[in-house]
Amino acid sequence: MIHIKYFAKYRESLGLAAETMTVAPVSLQDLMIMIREKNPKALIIMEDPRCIIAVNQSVERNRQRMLQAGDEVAFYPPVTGG
Amino acid sequence: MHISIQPQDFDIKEEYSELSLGDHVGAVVIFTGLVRAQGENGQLLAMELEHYPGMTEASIAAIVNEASERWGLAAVRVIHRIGRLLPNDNIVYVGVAASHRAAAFAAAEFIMDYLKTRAPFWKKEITTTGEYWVEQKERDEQAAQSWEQAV
Repeated sequence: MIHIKYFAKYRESLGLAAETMTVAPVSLQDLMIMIREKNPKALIIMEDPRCIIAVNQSVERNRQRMLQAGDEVAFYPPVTGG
Repeated sequence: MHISIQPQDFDIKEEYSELSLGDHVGAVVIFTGLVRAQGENGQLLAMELEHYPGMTEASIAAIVNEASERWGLAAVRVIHRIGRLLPNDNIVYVGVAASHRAAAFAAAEFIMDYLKTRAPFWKKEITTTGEYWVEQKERDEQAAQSWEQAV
């Protein structure tokens, strides 16, 4: 099972803060395809060039990264703290 | 190193007294960020701050570690508030203690530039005309990148 989290405007547009998918092992890219097939509203997030992806709370730019059961994947827009 | 993500306000005097201790401290630089009453999308009623529990704390710790190594700091304290804040409320506190002022000034700016562009926080403005997520500013990203070029 992979734990998926959404933050800020992504969380709001999906109306969803977290979900799980039983797909591991799977590449990050394939997980993103599965997410948008399951939820058409996620398309705009998965195709947003500014979308930041974190795997196990570290930013991950490699879409070929293999995900294992128990991994946490987060999708979030550019940050605006401080 | 002290890092706290909290809804409640902080006491700058107390924070300063924590930083000014220590035999090697000759300079303390403190930065405080506040909620502007005039937001980017009109008159602000409130600001909501969201974060990614766990990752936010870890990413700030990494930023502070990098600053401590680079400038040999005596102490660093970072507080970032979350939840619903009102105009003129404190948002963020960065306090840096070092032997000399150049290191303390530079490290405080470095930590703020990275906080703004790397740590997972998101601001939403609640204004008289509606609710708006704040967009990341290009100048903040450029400021953070300038530290990488300066290595």
